[in-house]
Amino acid sequence: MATLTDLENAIDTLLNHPAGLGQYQLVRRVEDKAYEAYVFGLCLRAVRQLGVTPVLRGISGPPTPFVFRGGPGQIHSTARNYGYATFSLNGHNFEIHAGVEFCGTSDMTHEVDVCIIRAAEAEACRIEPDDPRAAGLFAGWECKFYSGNLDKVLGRAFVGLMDDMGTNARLSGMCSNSVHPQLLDYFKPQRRPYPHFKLTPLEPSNEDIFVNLVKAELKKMTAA
Amino acid sequence: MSDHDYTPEQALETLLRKVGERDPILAERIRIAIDAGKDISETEVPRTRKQKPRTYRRKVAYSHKEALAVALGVLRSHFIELPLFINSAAANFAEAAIGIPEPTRRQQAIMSHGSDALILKGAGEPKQLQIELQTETQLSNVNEDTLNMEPVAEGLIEEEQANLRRLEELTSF
Repeated sequence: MATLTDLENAIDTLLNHPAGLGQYQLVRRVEDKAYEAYVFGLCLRAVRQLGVTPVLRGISGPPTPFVFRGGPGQIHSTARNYGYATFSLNGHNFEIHAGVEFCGTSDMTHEVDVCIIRAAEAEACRIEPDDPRAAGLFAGWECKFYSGNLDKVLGRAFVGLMDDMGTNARLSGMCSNSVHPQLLDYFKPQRRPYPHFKLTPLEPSNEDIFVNLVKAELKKMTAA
Repeated sequence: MSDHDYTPEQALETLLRKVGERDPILAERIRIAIDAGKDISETEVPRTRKQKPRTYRRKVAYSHKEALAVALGVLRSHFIELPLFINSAAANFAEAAIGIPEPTRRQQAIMSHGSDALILKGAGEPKQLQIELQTETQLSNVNEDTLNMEPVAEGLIEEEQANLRRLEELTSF
């Protein structure tokens, strides 16, 4: 029969493990950003599965290291050598960014956690510093690491954000390792973001859905 | 018959106390997840025979047994999923190439990309990923500028998964 001492020992073993509290305390400040890096990585995987090697670049030189923004920032900012990725598919050029602000159709700016943007728009905004226009957005994802149930307000805010991004965006989604049952219903109507809930390496089939959606939309967009 | 000489309530109290002693922030996160409660569908008993049963949503607190599962879910997110996100990002970035603007046109492996000519290097090699801590608009200084996202050895994650499974056994009633 298990005793409270057994339970206490099991808790200590979990917390004291090298992948336990020590690792958690090291990265908890950046857990949301680590999740964005994970979703960014899934975009790279989708591009690679289309037979293209994505290319990592930095705003002011080779991205060694590849730096993710710690907060919303502008695509032309050279405060650090922020990283992004580029790829070409069937003659169409794209870039993948994280934490970049866009100018919505209302002229209000919005941060998109991870996005695929038409390269010409991104390049123009680097040459003549400006926020990319909503029309340049191909795909945008909100990324939320949550250890409890996902907050409903995040879903509502992202629907509003995507509404202001106009109709050029081909793909949008809310990505989280967590879920909220009511948000699943909220995202059901057409043109609402896709609910990529429980998107985590622990659920490889959900990763496949994300990657396949990106691949399918990129193929469709670049086929003509 | 239970295989434990403690109740779910005692188990939850022990878990929260032990985590709280070591890391109050993590304990608070567990508490917030538990206190969010859950939605249930409740059916109203018809008052007359003609009335149809009516079902409505109601928010209720978790039972101690359910709260234990929620607490373990929080620990799983932080101790298992978070390192897996970093490892997955590291693996996907490793397969990408690094584009270096070409100073002269002599090098091999040149790719025309927009207006730039690039030398591509490092496909299949690990990349160093960093997250900015001191953001460009932040006036107050943080101790470090950036944080390295170091992959965690898979063996360590598997061991921690086994530790979590053991804890699940001890908190299943």
